Order: sequence, then structure tokens, then C-alpha cells
Amino acid sequence: MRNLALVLASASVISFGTALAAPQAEPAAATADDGIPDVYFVPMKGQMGTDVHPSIYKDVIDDIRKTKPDLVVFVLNCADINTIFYLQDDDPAEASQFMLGEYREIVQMLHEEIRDIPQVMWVEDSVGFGSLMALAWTDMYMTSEARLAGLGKVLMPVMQWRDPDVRAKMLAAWTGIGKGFIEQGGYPLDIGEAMMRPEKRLSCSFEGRDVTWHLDTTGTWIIDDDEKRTSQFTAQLAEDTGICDGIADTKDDLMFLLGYREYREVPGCEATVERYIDDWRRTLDLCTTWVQEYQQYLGWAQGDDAIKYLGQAKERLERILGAMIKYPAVEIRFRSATGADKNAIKIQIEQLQEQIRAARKQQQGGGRGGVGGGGGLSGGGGRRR
Amino acid sequence: MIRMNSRMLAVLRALVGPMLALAVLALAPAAHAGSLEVLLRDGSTWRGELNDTVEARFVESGVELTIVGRLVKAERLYVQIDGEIGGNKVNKTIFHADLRSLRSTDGSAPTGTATAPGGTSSKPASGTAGPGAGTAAPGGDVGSGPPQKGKDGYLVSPKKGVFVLPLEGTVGIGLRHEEIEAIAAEADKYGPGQIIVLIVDSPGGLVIEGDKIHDSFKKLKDRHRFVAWIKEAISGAAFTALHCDEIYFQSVGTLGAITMFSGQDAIKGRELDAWLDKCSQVAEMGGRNPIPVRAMIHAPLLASYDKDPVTGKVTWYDTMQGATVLSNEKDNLVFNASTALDCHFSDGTADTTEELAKLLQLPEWYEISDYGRKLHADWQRTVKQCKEEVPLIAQRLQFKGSGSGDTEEVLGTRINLLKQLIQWWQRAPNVMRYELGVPEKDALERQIANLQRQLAMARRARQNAGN
Repeated sequence: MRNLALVLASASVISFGTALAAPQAEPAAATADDGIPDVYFVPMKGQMGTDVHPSIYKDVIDDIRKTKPDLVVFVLNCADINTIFYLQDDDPAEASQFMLGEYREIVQMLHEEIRDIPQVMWVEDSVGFGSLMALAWTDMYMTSEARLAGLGKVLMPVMQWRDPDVRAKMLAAWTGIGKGFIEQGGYPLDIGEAMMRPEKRLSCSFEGRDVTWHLDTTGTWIIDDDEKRTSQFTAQLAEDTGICDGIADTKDDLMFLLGYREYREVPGCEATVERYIDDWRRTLDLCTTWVQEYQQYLGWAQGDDAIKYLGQAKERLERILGAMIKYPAVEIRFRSATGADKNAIKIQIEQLQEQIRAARKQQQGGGRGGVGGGGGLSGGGGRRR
Repeated sequence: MIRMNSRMLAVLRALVGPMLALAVLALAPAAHAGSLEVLLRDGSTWRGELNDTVEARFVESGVELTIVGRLVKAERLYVQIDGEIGGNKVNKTIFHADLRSLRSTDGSAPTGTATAPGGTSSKPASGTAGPGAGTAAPGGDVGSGPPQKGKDGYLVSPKKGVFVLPLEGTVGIGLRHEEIEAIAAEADKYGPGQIIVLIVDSPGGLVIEGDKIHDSFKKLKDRHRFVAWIKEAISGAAFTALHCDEIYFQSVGTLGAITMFSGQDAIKGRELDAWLDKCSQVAEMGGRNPIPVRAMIHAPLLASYDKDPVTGKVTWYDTMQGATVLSNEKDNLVFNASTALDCHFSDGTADTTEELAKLLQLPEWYEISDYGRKLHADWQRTVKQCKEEVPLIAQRLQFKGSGSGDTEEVLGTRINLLKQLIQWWQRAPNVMRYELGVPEKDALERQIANLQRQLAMARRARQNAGN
């Protein structure tokens, strides 16, 4: 498809060149009025709840407003499990987080704040809460290997309840919230119900081009006849049943399906998200190092070097706290791994301060004790008087 | 839709490429004539202007749909039509690849489909009492400055508008009757009949607060028109919203699951009966049938309805006999935007304030005062600070000051920390009691008195040692 884009090469080069020649100008290249649509691709990839977090999409929206593209394409690739089942090598720490409120915030933010720009969801793969995002956009395309699955996770908090009435309440509440995403995308709620609740079966019937969904097996096409697992869709199945609008394996394929032989990708449009993901993950790695150093310094904090090493241990915790404040994703992952959140770190820092203070007092008190004959604490008391 | 792979694409490009290219160009607004031309896939051309009433057929998720409405945009990539699909008002963006046909209608669009200026809204008029109705001095020019008083002594808003109060967080913690009463008091300054929009985003909460909210609404409802705008109204939040005269959903909105429980177990027997009765009464207060509300409380209760295809009138059943079953004997009922709209449980769906203004039959969205939003922001800030700060204070009680090795300093520090907790009790008692489980204020005061006694003894001991 890139070859096809050569047709527009001259136009693109000219308009980009103009932008480069005027560095202070708005990124007008992206909005050049040359008839070629400017497309802004927004990655939604990695772990739902950390890589996909509301904090970064605010920046994305700002950038979209600046560049004023003709079309925004969200590229979703969030799969809790890979496709090589027998290896069972999926990292549980990378599984999508139960943060439906935050995901809903992202959906509403993107739908409302750039509502004047048409938006398309393009699913590369989605297993887990990412599927809620996929179904929150009306115009949805998939790659040929993409999956749309894993929404049984929505029921995670339900199982802790014993009482059947309370369990029914919790189930209805969480699936209701989940179906809110599907409602936003304009898909039949029965699909969401079957994707979230294992006991629901799913089939569909066709009348002309209309698809009718059934939460049982009375339809002519049985999608899910297993009451022990939730419904899921391959790209082909999603397309055949009209859930997705088409299958496209490359950006060019996608744009062609949308009806454009020519398009121009807004330069650097993926950078905001890519940079954010790189940055917070690198910071998380650093936090692991800082924790190890913290533990090492604590171990060394004895005798004459106690104050020095306690100070260094405290400084490492301050770095971790700073990282958590800067990146909520770091706090989420750090908490999952260690159980410690921002407040726990703050308290540890304050406790170290007290220890440092005590150690100083001990050193000072010992010295004075020799001179004034008083011992540590009472020496302090004496000075006060 | 046809699955596209690269080889197929190459073939298709050759076949349909020229046609699509034409469509791209044709969708661009004509530069000279001030009118639009859209070349369609079948080779025909639609000509007209923005704001024309049009009927468009398009494909979505493999299904062909029709929208009738006002053409608000015709760009290179898409057209945008403000109209109605299946009874729902929408602002629809249609990519030209999905557009099958486009034709002008005679301007008198089918009933209720157009939202052109002066057009009708699907929202039935429901006792609308416009802001300031009957309160403004006739012909009085209030301008855009600070509100002035009318002849009747009430403040006069420069425009028709609403009061807004976001209700967020746990019922009894973030969402409280105090704020509801406060916004009503603010609205009172402008006279009775004000529109108060409660933006509800809450997972539910304390039953005890539900009782207070109920009492507040009983007092306030005959003074003002309460509107709930639902993002999330689960459990106690649904109970709160049910008091309102009108309920609107956001697209992602959800409402229901009002089952009351304590610890692990749902209430049963007489307690359950009383709760069912109370919620039924609240449903009727809001002008709604209690059947779906009861199905939100106890899973075995059923709810279904029939809808008259001509009049749209809904008939409720507490059995499964209705054509649309909302809740069977296993499920608790929670509404989403479309299910609530279909049975008229909700009065409409709006994702923006402008859309809500239309549904409220207001000419535009205008907030008479930002009092409610400030109230909400202040209280949410307080709750957040309290939740963050108090656990820290509680932990500091264990160690703060200990590094000094000075008994007096340690005791003094603890007294200060306990005093901080008491201050939080004054600022946010419900957060302290229900959310954080901090000992009651009088217990803390007793602890302070005890520590003060210890401090006095320590001082005396030090003085004695000095002598």
C-alpha cells in the first residue's frame, strides 16, 4: 500500500517541507488543505490500567487538537494471554487491571473532547478489559489474527459474595457497567452479556442484512454453546456477524476499507503514547533497582555509618515516591508487586527520618555524656532547661 | 463486509479505486457555489446545502440503517447528520464508504426526527418551570453582570438555565444530602421551579444516608424540578436518582442493583418487605412504575413490559408475560441507556450538556450559578484529603517523635496528632466513621486528656530531677 501512497508523495513532501521551513508555525502539514486526509493513529497497547491509563490520553487529546486531523484511529493491542496456549508463559503482572471507572473515563474523554473528529477503533488483539474499549467505538475494524475476548474478568469481584441476592446484585452492577461501554459503541447488549457471563449462550439469526442476537441457542448460527465459558470472537467471526466493519492487516488496508486510497499519517502521532510507555516502564525498572539499594543500605546502616546509610535508604524511597507521583502506572505495578502504595512509602520515609534523628541523638548524647556526665536522653533534657 | 487481504486489495483497488477517489472529491464542499455535491457509490449525485433535511441510508456493523435529519457537515471523509435512528436522537458521522444513499426530504421531516431550530424534542414536556419563571421583572434587563433581584424579591438569571450538582462517590461519603439541600437553597434564591441537574456517578453506599436523602427530597421536590443525569447510579445512588422528576442517561450510564445488604448477607423477611415498599414509594414519587424498581432489589422478582407499537405506551408486568423481559427470577435488574429509554424509564440519552439542554427543552446550556460545581469540588477535595491524610496520621501515632528520645516530645507529638484527627472529625465525620473507622471524637478527646496528664507528670518528674 505504501507504493500506492507514492502517488501522493509529491503533495506530502511539499506540505511537510512547508512545515519544516516554518518551525514556529502550527503543524499545518497535518492539516494541509490538499484533499488528502490526515489520519492520527493513537496506540492503545500493552497493559490495560497502566500502559492504557487516563493520564496519557489527556496529552493525546491535546495533541490531536493541535494537529487537527481528519480522522483518528485508535489501534488497540491489549491481550492478557498470548496465542501460544501450551506455553502458559503469560506474565500475570501484565494482565489488565480491574479499573472499569478509569477505562470509562478514557472512553468518555475521547468521545466527547474530540467529538468533532470521526473516530475509528482498529483492534490488533484484545483479550481482557481491552475488549470493552474495542466495543466502545461504533466503527470497529480488526486485523485478521485479532481476538475479541476475555470479558469474563468483569465478574472477578462478584465471586467473593456468598449470599445469592447480593451476588445477583453485584453481577448485575458490574455487567451493567461493562455494558455501558457496549452501549456507547452502539452494539447489541446481548453480545456484552454473553461475553461477560459464562452461563449465557449466544447465537444469532439473519433476516436480510439484519442480525438478531439470542442469549440461547435458538438462532441459526450458534456462536457459543458452552455455559462454562464466555463468548469470544475471532476477527472472521466478528466480521461475519457484523460486529466489526472489516478486516484490515495494515494501516493502508484499513484506510482502503474506510474508502481512502490516499491518506497521510500525522507525523509523530504515536510518539506521545510510545514515549509515555517507555518512560513509565523504565522508571518502574529503576524502582526495582532502588528497592534493592534501599534494602542494601538498610542492612549496612549500623555503627558509625548508620546515619549515612539510613540517609541513603531514605533517599531511595524518596525516588520511588517521586516516581509513583509522576506515573500512576508505577504506583499500580509497585503496589501489585510489593503491597506498598504511596502512603506506605511516605510512612517508611518518615520512620527512617525518626531513626536518623535517634541515631544522631545517640551520637550527640554519647559525646556530651562524656563531657557533662549526663547520658543521652537526660543530657538532652538538661540542655533544654 | 468482505475480508480484505493484500491480494484482494490489489484487485479491489483496481476495480473500485476510481469510484472512491471521486467520492472523496465530491464530498468536499463545493468551493464556488456555496452548495454541496456528494457523488454516491452508485454514481448518482446529491446536491444541496448544509442544514438541509436529508435521508441517508448507510451500513453499520453489517446492517443497513436509515437516518433522517439535518445535514450538519459534509467533509472529505464523511457526512454528519443530526437526526434520529430507531427513535434515538443521534449526531451521526457516516463515512462515505458506508454511505449507500442520500436524498433530500421535503423539509418537513418525519415527526420528531429533526432537531432543526424550532424542531421538536422527543422529551415530553413534564411540568417545565423555566428558571426564573414568574420571577423576573417584566421586560427587566438583567444583563450579564451579577444577578439582580426582580420585583418579587428573587434573583433573576440573565438566561434560562440550570443549577448543576455533581454527586460523586460513595453514598454517605462523597454523595450526601447536605449538598442536595445546599444546591436547593441556592436555587431558592431564584424562586421556585428551578431546574436542578444532579450528575450521578456513584457505586452506592450507606443506607443511613439514603434515609436522609429521602427526607431531603420530600422537602425539596415541591419547590424545584430535579433532574438526574446518570453516569453510574448503582444501589444507593440509584435510590437517590429515583427521587428525581426526570432521569437522563449518558451513553455509558447504568442504574439499578438496589439490594440492601449488611456484611455478607442481603436483608430478608420484614426488612426486605419494608425496603421494597420504600423503594416502590420512591419510584412513584418520581412518577415511575415500581415494578422494575422492585426487580432491582430482590433477584426473584420479575419485570417485563409490552410497548404499544403505535402510541409507545408501556405496560408493566411483575411476571414474564411481557414481550420484553428485563429481569427473570435469577437476575437483579440494572438499566443501561437503551434499555431504560425503550421502556421510558429514562427520559432520554445525552452525552454532552448541549444534548441535555435540548432534552430539557432549553435553548442552550446555561448554568445559572457555579455554586453546585464548587460545592462538589470542595467536598470531594476534603474527602480525598481526609482519606489520604488520616491513615498517615494514624500511623504516625505509632512512631512520630520517637527519634527524639524525649518523652515529653513524644507525648506532645501524639497529642498534636490526635488533635488533627479531631479536626478531621469536624470536617468530615462520615468519612472518619464509615470509610476509615477512626475512633469517635470523644474517645480521642479522652485519649488526649490522658496523654496531657502523662505529659504533666513527665514535666513534673523532669523538674523534680532538675531540683
